[in-house]
Amino acid sequence: MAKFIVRRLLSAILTLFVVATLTFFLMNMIPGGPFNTERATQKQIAALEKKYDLDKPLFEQYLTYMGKLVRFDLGDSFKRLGYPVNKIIGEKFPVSAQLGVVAILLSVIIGIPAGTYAAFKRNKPIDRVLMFVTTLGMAVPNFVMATLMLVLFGVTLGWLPTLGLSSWKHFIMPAVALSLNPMCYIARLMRSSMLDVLGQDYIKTARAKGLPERKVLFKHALKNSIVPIISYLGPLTAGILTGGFVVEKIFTIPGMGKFFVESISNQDYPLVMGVTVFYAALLILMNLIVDLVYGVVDPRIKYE
Amino acid sequence: MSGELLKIDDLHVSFFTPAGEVKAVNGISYTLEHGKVLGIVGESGSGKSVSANALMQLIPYPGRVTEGQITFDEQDILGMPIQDMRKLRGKEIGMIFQDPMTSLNPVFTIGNQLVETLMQHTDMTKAQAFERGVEMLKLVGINNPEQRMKQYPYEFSGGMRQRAMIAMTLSCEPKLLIADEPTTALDVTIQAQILELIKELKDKINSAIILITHDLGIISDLCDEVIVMYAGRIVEKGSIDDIFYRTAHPYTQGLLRCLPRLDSDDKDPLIPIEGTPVDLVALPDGCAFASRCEKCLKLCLKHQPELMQINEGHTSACWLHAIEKQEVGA
Repeated sequence: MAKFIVRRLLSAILTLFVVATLTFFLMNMIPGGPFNTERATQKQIAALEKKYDLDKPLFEQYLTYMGKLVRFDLGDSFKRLGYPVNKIIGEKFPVSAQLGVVAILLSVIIGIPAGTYAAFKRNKPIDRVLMFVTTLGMAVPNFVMATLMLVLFGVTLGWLPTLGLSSWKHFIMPAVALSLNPMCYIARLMRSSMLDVLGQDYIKTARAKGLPERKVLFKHALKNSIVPIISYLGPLTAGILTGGFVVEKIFTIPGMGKFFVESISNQDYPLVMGVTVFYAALLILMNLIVDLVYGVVDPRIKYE
Repeated sequence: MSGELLKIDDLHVSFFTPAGEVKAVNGISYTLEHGKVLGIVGESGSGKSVSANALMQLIPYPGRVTEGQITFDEQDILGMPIQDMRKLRGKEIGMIFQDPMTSLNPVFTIGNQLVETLMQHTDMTKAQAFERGVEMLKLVGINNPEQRMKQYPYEFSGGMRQRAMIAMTLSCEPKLLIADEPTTALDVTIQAQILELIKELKDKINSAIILITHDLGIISDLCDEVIVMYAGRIVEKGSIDDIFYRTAHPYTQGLLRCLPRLDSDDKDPLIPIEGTPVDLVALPDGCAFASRCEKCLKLCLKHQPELMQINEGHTSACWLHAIEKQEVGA
């Protein structure tokens, strides 16, 4: 087990190295530079580029960057002068993560029982209603949902605050908007996985033993059918924790989402690198956690 | 103990599929006494498993009982609310399935699954149930039972799993044990061991057994009475001797010709039953076996033969018997 984790962490470092290298060179292949969009003279641009070492050969820049990266220094943002990328991520990630955790809990807490129930009531009206609603929920993009809620509950009815995250009430709309798609997906995934498991012989055994249906479903079937959900939760968590760009924009939440998009359109090299490497690291971590959870759920999975 | 334990009367089971109503069981009736062993023989799709599942209200979706009555220990099974049924399942009626590789839950320990059954039906504490589980594993011939209780099904071989399954099923000492092809998925040598075990335990626990199989060979040793099923109907019913030595129905005769015999010449071929089983969606008006029967008459195609008495306790559903009887009478 410990050996497994160590090996996975070593391979994670390699992965991060590849991600950083690829991003670095791809980013530099994009025409233009971070300072081109400013209303600056050629001279000023040249001066800025000199200040940030952009006049040096690309490979040298790469070595310098990687040298800093191994010391966990992501450099300073070009656009917010003097603002270290570490600090941006350090400040913005907790905001997105807070919202993300609420959204994930919401999708799991509602998605799993809904899917289980639909499977249990297969082809009955309630199942069809649930499947219709979840299809709809997956088809509606979260910004549409966010906007609709904003107009209805925020403006027309005035029940919920519309910007920021200063109280639990502020979390409701953005969390619901963020969780809608994954929640519906989890419900559908759970239903199909559950249907598969409910057809297994050991479920018949459990019923033949006289166990109540509650125990058949939530003990014998759930533990077996939850594996696909766990696989899905890994990348989902990484994605949602780092912030939903549009949803954060709509509700004016000072999260990380907007830095993903803005850093690229601004060609803010250190910030692009920073958020990419950070996201990659989070994704790798989540996948490692998923693999460890598999072992808890299914004793047949062994780590070597 | 003697007397009637189980009575099935005119049981019909259908599966309602998009392709139509699949009539899996079409009016079977039989009784089983305390402590007796009944064999149900038939090929795939003959309704043998479905009729047994009906005893526990465990017919899989989209099937249901459309007609008939099942009385177990003077209780009406089919009219019983599911809560009461659950009290019978596992306690009064135990069931063993075909494939021990899949019938135990892979993510819980053997002990967990054994203890769970006991705690469901008795007032035992967890520790007592564990003790009883260990005892049961010992009884079915599993070594190191304490240690085995903590292992998962994947750590057991096929034969050992079936033993564990039997231990679990018999732990509450059911009055009736339904064994649905308990040896089909096992090696031949293990098959013999498992059958031997069932035989041994039958006397210890004194439960009645319904043994479902497609293999006539394995019932000869164990059963008091045998039912042969075809297309959801009973075609012949009798004692072991009736079925093997005074075979009446052409289908049973066909089945027996498929079995290798010790006293036969090596060169004697085994004779298969030609044709394929009937389509259960569109059952013929006449005898379901008619299209595959060598002795088929015109009458057989139009009219369904009822079970006719051949001897005391031996019945068979074939028009030939009626004709024979008439000839004898005339």
